[in-house]
Amino acid sequence: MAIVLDGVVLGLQLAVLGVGVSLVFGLSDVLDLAYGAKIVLAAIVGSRVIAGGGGVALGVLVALLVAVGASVLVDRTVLAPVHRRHGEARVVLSLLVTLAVAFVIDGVLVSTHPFAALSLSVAGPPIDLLGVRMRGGSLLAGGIAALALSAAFLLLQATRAGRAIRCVIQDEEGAQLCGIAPARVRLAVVSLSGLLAGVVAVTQGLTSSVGVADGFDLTILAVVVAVVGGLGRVAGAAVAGVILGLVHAAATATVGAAATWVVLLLAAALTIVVRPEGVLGMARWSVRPAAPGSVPVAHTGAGRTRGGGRPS
Amino acid sequence: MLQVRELTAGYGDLRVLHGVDLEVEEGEVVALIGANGAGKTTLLRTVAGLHPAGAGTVTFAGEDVTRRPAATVARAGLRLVPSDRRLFPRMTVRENLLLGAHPHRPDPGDLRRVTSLFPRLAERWGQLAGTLSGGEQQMVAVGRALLGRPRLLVLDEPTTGLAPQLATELYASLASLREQTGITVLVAEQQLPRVLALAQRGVVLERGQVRYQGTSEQLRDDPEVRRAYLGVG
Repeated sequence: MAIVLDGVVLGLQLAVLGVGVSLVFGLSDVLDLAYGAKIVLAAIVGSRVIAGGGGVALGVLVALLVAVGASVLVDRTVLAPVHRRHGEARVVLSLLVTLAVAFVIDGVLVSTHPFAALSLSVAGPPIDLLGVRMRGGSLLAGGIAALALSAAFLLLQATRAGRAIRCVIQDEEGAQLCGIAPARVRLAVVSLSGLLAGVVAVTQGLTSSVGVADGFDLTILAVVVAVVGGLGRVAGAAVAGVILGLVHAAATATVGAAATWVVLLLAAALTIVVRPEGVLGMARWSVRPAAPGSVPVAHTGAGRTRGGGRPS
Repeated sequence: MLQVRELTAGYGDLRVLHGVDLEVEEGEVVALIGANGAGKTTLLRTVAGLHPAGAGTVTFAGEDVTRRPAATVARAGLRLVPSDRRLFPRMTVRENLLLGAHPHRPDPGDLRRVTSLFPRLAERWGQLAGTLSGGEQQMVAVGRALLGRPRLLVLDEPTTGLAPQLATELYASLASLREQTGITVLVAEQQLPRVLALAQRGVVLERGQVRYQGTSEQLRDDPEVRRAYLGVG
């Protein structure tokens, strides 16, 4: 049971990571390799505010704002030429540009705050949950991650703005034909993705700590979760995060922490082989053969192509 | 309603439109006729702001919209239904239709009109658009455009990929829409008899230029139109 609870707490955080990356990729084909670096940046700035006597609440607020600000700033400046390209060129260029951004953020932080880390401790004895003694910080982190995921899904599924975001993700040109400007939607999505990065900084700070060396691990985890979820599929990323969290916890308990990464990546590779469209894959489609003489709609974007689409 | 003057457009070095002039008056149905590769789709996409214009101007409802983004043109009331429909495949029929009215809540009367035009959509209300047949997808695409209360409805080869019976059904629905609302329509089509039954006027596009214009009656028996329509010569 302890493994399951640990797995769920970690899984919810991985889900937030994956959703943050998947949202942006789904919208604009930009795979953000600087996602982890932005989390670290938010965490370090937050930790400096707390260390400077600003208090935990202000530190957390600043961390969230820094994550949103960094996301929007990167999107509006260095990613602007990337958005002007289309198709594969955009994907490849986005990898190079965001990797460069990651190196820059990492380099600046390593040289200015080499030993800084965000660590938020929750006072009090362990709490008994389903017969397992859990640290207050872990439970709070799991709760915050679950809340952030629920809020993000509520926004996407139950509001008009969310519907507009989803439609741009599914077909940017179709959205334009409905009078929806992709640039405005992108600002909203990039901000949301940044906010989720800030949430990960806080929840990681609650469960362990976030230091300058953690950026690339976080990015790799985020990308793995997003890919297993089916790049661009937000619900898939959330489910993939929880699954990989459980695998991670089980692997740590059985084969040890050293081999956990190998098990995690093997599990990811296996999922991709079995369900190349992501964990939810076809399940979101009610499969029904098209009528004779009909032409199925063409789907665009990596991981979202379903057989039968015609070139347009 | 729509004035296109000396419009050019292309893809890289390839010029597709060579100075097209086209006019659609309010309340008219105009057919845009031409063989494959004549430039119909490029013309409609350029007018709708989806494809960059080279030289020339596009004026819609008295405003120059030549280099406006597609979303702005759509909000101004020019709604294009592209031949590949561009539906949101993982959203339900209902959600696709609602997005036509975005950011507003759709008028219940408009929704009723769409479901009475296309009764099949009422049966498919909760179904994902990507799982619909081609004909049903076309109905959703037209319905979605109608929910945006267009001043000009632009249809690009609406019967592409449809079985003949479905194509006939679709044109019957369009005719009844015209009868009910008097909506202004510009429709590109290769199915000559069908489109000329709906349109009052036709424009023949050939190799990116307007070759011939006339009333539907004039066009019906014109040898030049038949040549363009059949794509020979």
